[in-house]
This record gives sequence, C-alpha cells and structure tokens, in this order.
Amino acid sequence: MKAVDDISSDELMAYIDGELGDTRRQDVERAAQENPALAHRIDALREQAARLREAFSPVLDEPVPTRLLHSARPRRNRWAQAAMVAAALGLGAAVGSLTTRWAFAPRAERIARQDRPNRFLEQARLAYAVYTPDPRRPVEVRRRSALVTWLTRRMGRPIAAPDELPHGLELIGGRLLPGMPDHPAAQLMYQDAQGRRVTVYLRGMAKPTAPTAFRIIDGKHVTTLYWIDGNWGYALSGNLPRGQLLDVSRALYRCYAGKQGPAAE
Amino acid sequence: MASRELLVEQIPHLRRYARVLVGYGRADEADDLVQDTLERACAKWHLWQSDRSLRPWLFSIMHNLFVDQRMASSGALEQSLDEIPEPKVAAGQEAWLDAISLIQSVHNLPLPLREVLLLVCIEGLGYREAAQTLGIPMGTVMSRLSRARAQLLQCTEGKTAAARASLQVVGRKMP
Repeated sequence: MKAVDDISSDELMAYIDGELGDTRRQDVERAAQENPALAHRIDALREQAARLREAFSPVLDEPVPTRLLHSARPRRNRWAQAAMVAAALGLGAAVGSLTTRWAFAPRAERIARQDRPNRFLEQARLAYAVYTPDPRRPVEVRRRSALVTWLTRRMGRPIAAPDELPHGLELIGGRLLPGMPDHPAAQLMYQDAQGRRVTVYLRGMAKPTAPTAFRIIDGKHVTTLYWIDGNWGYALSGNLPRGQLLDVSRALYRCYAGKQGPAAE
Repeated sequence: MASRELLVEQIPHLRRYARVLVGYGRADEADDLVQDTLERACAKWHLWQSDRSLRPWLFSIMHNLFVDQRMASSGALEQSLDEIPEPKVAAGQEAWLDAISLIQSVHNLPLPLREVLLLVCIEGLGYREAAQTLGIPMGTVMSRLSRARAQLLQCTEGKTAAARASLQVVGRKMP
C-alpha cells in the first residue's frame, strides 16, 4: 500500500472523475479513511462538481433561437439530396395519408404519441433500479433548498420535497432525469433507519392522460405504486410492505394535490 | 433527416460551451459562435465518423473557431468580465447567490482552465475525449483540471463567506 503523500493531484482528479484504475482507487479510498484532510478535499471537490453542473445547467433549457435551428442542416452529397427531395415530393403527393403525417410530424410530437402510463412506469422502475443501489452518488443534489429550487425551475412547476415521509423515511436528495421531450423527470430519494430506500419519480405526461387511481405493481424486488393526476404521473417505488407504501403515497398525494388521496384499486 | 436531428439535439450543449468561451453575459455573441460552428459542421458533415461521439467533434470545431477568431481580434474578447443576467425565475436567495458567484468565479479562470472544467466536470467527457477535443495531451488535461478546481475552491470559499456576511448585515438593518 502506498502512502498518502504518494497520491498526486492528477490521481486525485482521476479519482474524482472515475478515471482511476481499481488498485489506485482503493489506495485513495484507504488513504482518505486515514487522512481526514484528504477526505475533506474529496468531499469538497465532489460538491464543487455537483454545484458546477447545477449552476451551468439552466442554459440547456432555454428555447433555441430559430436562426440556430436554420443553421443546422448537414449537407449531403448532391445525388443523395436530390433523391431525398424526390422522395419527399412523392410522399407529399399522398395528401392526408397517415404515413405522411407521421413522417413529417415533428419528433417531439411523434414521440408524444408513444407516451403512455406503461412507459412512464418503466422509466420510474428503471430509475429506481439504477440509482438506489449507488453507494456513492445516489442523488445529484442533496441540499433541500437547492434541490427544490432547481427541480422547480427545470420542471416548470412547484416540486415539493418533504423532509420526512411516513414510516421514518427521510429525504436524501434528488436528481433530474430525461423523461420525454420537453418533459424532464425528477427523482426524489428517501431512506429509513434500516437503510431501505424508496424513490418518488414524477414527470408531466407527453400527451393528455386521463387520471388514474392508485395502482400497485409488484415486481421481484420492488413494488411500485403510481397514479396520474392533472396530466402528471407520480410513481413511488420501494422494497417495503404494501401497506407502508400506500401510507407514503397518500402523504405524497396530499402534498402534491393538496387533497385526499384516491382510493386504492 | 436523422443527421439533422442529431445536430439539433446538440445545440443546447453548444450554447453552453459557447457561453463559457465567450462570456456568460454575452449570449448573443455566444450564439454567433454556435451558428458559425453549426455552419462549419454542416459543411464538413461528411468528415464526421459516426463511431466518434458527435458532441466532442462539435466542441473541437467550436474550440478551433473561437481560438482563430480570438487571434484575429487580438484578445478583444477578454477585456472585461460581464455582468451575469439574473435568472428569469425567482429562486431561493442563497441558492441563487451560490450559483451566480460560482459562474463568476469560473469566468475569472483563464480560458484554458475553464474550458477543461466545462468539458470534464460539467459535460462529463472522459480525459481522452477532452484531450482530443482540445488537441492537447491527456497529462495537460489533468494538470489544468487540478489547477482549475483548486483555484475555484479557493475563490468560492472566500466569496460565499463574503456574500453570506453581506446578507447578514442587510438582514440586521435597524428598524
């Protein structure tokens, strides 16, 4: 094992950015356990990275000026271009055909037609499976005030993140995830005293979606309870008894809708 | 039209990189750079190998364009630090202060440092990709990254403390 002093600043960077080989990574981790100053520096650098990403992300949501959209027209070779024009004209002749409307519909609209509760549910469960086991960075933002501000801005609606939920669940933090075009998704993560984690996943549905009452889907390792209200989908996932999840989801429902929860189906 | 969609998807990231290069308070100039980059990329589209990620390829075009333009205007763009526009949505005062002071600190870094910081830390490029994008060795990426982060830590710690202190003073105004 190498001494702490052996860890160069380059290696520290590579460690933070996940570019260090396994052996050296373990060296750094061991060194950090023995040296509080190093551990503190690692924490500070990690927090810095998270804050940088947060501070520089709002520009990604700004509407793109049309002049830029107009400039984005990759040139092909001429024959290919001619062939495409011909194809477009040919298709255009079939006025009113569904195929034409499909082919020329803007991408977001096309994808919106594919949105459905099942897709929402898949995304919610995938996000649960990916992030809850992560020991290092289960969430992007931990501080509650920053989290609420950030998610509210990115989601375009107030996002509540209660500090506590029933059955001793406490907020760890949250992250933003790709949902559907123009509909980013948010994931909040909670943990109880036994270290069991549950996630709340929510996003706007890409097309108007009828409200649904609480529905419960049991999986092998996770139970998901979801509902759709006001064109917003909410999914609570966790490996807890159904009764507890139901209590939690009622609390969430009240928090987001400000009224009594619908009955379970 | 697939290639056009691929390109359009990258525009928000190009705009962000351009602002880091040009200056956060100069959104229009930054968008000019984005436009030049898009036009150059479209003209050279046949040179993009689809096995290479599109975003780093576009970033390298933008980087080269910017360096050329700056050489031509002999550093005129580096003159002053711009004001950073207020976020459109009201945010918690503390979070807002933090973000603003961070952006400002990033802009006080020399260009080579803030570029590496954006590519690796914010865009999440690997060291190899970042090195390829900027046309520098990987070792240089790492040493710049290390300097950028250290300088930034120093100045954010100072600034946040100062900002908090001034907030407290305001809060304690006499009735």
